[in-house]
Amino acid sequence: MMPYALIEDPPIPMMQGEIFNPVLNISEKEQAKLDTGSALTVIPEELVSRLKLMPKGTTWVKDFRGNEQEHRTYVVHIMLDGEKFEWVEIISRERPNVLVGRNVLNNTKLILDGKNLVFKMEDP
Amino acid sequence: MARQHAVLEQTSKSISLAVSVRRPNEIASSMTEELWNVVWTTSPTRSRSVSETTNTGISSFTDLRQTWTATFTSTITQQVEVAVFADLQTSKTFSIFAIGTPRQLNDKMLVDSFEKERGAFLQMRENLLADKNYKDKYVAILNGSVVDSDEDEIKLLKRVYDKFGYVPVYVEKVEKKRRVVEISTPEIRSK
Repeated sequence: MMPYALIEDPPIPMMQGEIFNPVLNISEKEQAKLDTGSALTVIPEELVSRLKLMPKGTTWVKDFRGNEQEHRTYVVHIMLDGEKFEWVEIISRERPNVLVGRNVLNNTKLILDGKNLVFKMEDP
Repeated sequence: MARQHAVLEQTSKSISLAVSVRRPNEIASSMTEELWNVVWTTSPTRSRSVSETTNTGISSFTDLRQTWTATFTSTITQQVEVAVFADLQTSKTFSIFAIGTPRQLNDKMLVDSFEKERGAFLQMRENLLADKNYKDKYVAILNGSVVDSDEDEIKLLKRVYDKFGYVPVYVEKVEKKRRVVEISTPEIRSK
């Protein structure tokens, strides 16, 4: 089991992740928050440049206020806890870490033991 | 004459460029290496530049059905402007992409190129919706045309990257409804 990160109040399930360009095979390590409220995974905007990602499409994103905005989408590989999720569609935003959404989490068995502030990702 | 150029910010000692020209079949079949001219313009400073016209840097020239790809290599280390043109009157679309070091195309060029493909998709969307070969499938748009389609988006994307290189292709599903995904965390706000 991994501990929740205490950098937020209340604490949050967060882990080390690695994002790969699926073609050029370059990668960057980044902290990754697990967020079942997000349909898609979001990476920090600066990673798009650093990983030399090519845009591949667009999608409309509805935010928590109900506002909709069109975003470019990219495709990456994501490594979480030693497991690699390939050809994952993502968008980018100005943010300090990766937000791992349901398009990744729904391929895992995620156990959140909030009472003990630990979590586990298995059977991916 | 079709002409396209790219300005590259170079970090390594060599660059490779693939130049893809989509033409009708009858033109593509008659193309030869001699029809190409390449201009390398090196700019150690922006105020001083040297131009050289050559086609000696062509290391490969292959026929990919309707798309011809010529690959050039240079060992120039400064900022490079590359202009490539072909003396054919009937050229349709002409694009230049970097292979291996694609981000050397600056971000604006990359985004412009991507937005051009997106605009082409939006223009042909109604026609694609009416075409049973494309409806409810993903299509890949490159150089303003549909270059491939598939029911599986990732299979399509892999195939397109294999065939055309890691280029800003626009991939979208041909369907009536608009795709909306929800990202409900307050950390993600519309700009």
